[in-house]
Amino acid sequence: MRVRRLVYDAVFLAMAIALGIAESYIPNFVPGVKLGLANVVVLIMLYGFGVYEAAFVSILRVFVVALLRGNIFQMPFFMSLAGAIASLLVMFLAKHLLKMLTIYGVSLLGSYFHCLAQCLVAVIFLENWAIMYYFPFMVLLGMATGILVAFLSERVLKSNILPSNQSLGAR
Amino acid sequence: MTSTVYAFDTSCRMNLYSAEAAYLDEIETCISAISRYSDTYRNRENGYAYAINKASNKGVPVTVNQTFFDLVALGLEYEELTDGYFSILTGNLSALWKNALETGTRPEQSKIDQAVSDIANTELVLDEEKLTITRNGDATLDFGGLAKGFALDESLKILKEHDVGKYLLNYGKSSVAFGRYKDDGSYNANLTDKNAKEILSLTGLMDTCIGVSGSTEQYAVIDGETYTHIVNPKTGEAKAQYELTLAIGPSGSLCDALSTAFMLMDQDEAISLAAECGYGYLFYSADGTLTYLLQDVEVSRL
Amino acid sequence: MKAFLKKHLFDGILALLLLCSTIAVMLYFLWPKDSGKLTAKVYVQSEMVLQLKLDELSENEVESYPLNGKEGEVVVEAKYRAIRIASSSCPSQYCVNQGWVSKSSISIVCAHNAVSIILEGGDSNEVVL
Repeated sequence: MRVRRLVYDAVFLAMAIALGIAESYIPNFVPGVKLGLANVVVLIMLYGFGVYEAAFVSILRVFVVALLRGNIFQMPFFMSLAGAIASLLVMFLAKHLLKMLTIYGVSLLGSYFHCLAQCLVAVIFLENWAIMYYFPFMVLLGMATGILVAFLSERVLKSNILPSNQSLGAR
Repeated sequence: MTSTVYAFDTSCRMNLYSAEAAYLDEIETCISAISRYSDTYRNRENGYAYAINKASNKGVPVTVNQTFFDLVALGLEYEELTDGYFSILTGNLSALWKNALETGTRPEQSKIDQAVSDIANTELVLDEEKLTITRNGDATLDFGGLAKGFALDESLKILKEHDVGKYLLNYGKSSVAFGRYKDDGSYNANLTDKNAKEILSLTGLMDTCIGVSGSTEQYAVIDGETYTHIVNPKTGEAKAQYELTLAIGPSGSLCDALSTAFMLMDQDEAISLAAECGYGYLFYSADGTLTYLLQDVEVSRL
Repeated sequence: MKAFLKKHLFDGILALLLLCSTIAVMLYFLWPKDSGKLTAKVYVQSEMVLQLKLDELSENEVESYPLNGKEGEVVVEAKYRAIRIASSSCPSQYCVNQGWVSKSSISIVCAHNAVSIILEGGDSNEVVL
């Protein structure tokens, strides 16, 4: 059963990577900022499997996409990494502590902190606050994407194509 | 919005807060034109001053336009007002001293005397109907102490026409017009000494013009004496009485002329001239002595 | 519909809160601290490669900055309160033809080489004469 879980993780990771690569081709108005569509996978994993799986997929995804795009250990990579970690942490906490929020609320928080973390990293790299000028635009776009991501994730989670935790062998 | 143009051989900066870009363009056009009319160093389009200064035009009526005519008329008016301490006929004299500052040697005394006598003996004949100016004499025109102030007044006319009250016009750091700041407040100005170090702070400046002489000018020390760019049309010397002078009042042109004249005058004379015009003044000497009378403006040392 | 709204009530409140905080964050970071200084920010693609305080440059001397644009070399020149793209490897030369820029809130962009220059600030109530 552990193998089954691993396979699911791997497949989701592949999907997340594919989404990440695909969206990096979308031109961005703001330096280094991506839409965050790959978060669909992260969100599905968070709700469907657990935070550890989600973290696995999310962080590994950042590394692999950066390797494939050729900009690992450069600014966009660190921005994505910070965004991934921050948003996952916040989403996990929100899911457990802020029970009045639906998946939409959690996703919105995730997008917001994803943007915030990316911006702060950019500020550190560029050594000035000028990039914060783009913050509100990023957040608007990010939150809109967040709603879409939540919608898609909810559909997948409700459609019962995912196995329950029991059948995968609980950790 | 701010804009900076190059005119009068220096940077002229305009800050407008509530006005549209069109007014900036209008002002830029206006002062660029005045810069061309009054330029005595290069032959520019409509370079009236340059034309009048040409030796071949001595005694010949040169046709000009209304703006330049007004500038010259104003210059003559101020010459009378300041009892000759301010003059627009210092072209040759200024050139002599400019050369002296660069080479580090005093000009020949005979040349100085000649220049002074030329200034005294040259007459400018103005024909208001035909808009011509005739230079009868050997002295040449120099608008160094008036052009920026005049441009300031012309710019203010434009702003007034468009009902603009929030502005800051800074022409070459020597002629400045303060309107209101964007929040309807006042401005602060820091004056610098000849080493570009900020020494005085003025606060509460609004809806007024100032003319500053001294700190922005070149100077040179020759044989232990300090000589400046400001020449005395009566004695021919280029020694200033103060390190920095300032005149404050409603007219930019008069401020410009007064601050220039003040540099050459004894303090009592200068103060009574200021009083006569109803303008405020500030004199700062090389030894640090500060004398001033400014309404509603606070002065403090830095 | 009503059930939908009720279910997502807190989500909506959250969204509002986040938007408000965004505005707050933006205002805090961008509140002009140095608004008196006319600054030019030069970007190559998305990276800011130069930040010049144009008030502090000399009137008579022009500072030259050769940059590696996306497709070729771009030379930026700056002097007292003015900046321009002096030369560029781009075919259209719109950026070069724009010439010297001294007005704030204006930008010069060379799309071919992904170089952009933005002018900010310059209006405060302090002047130094």
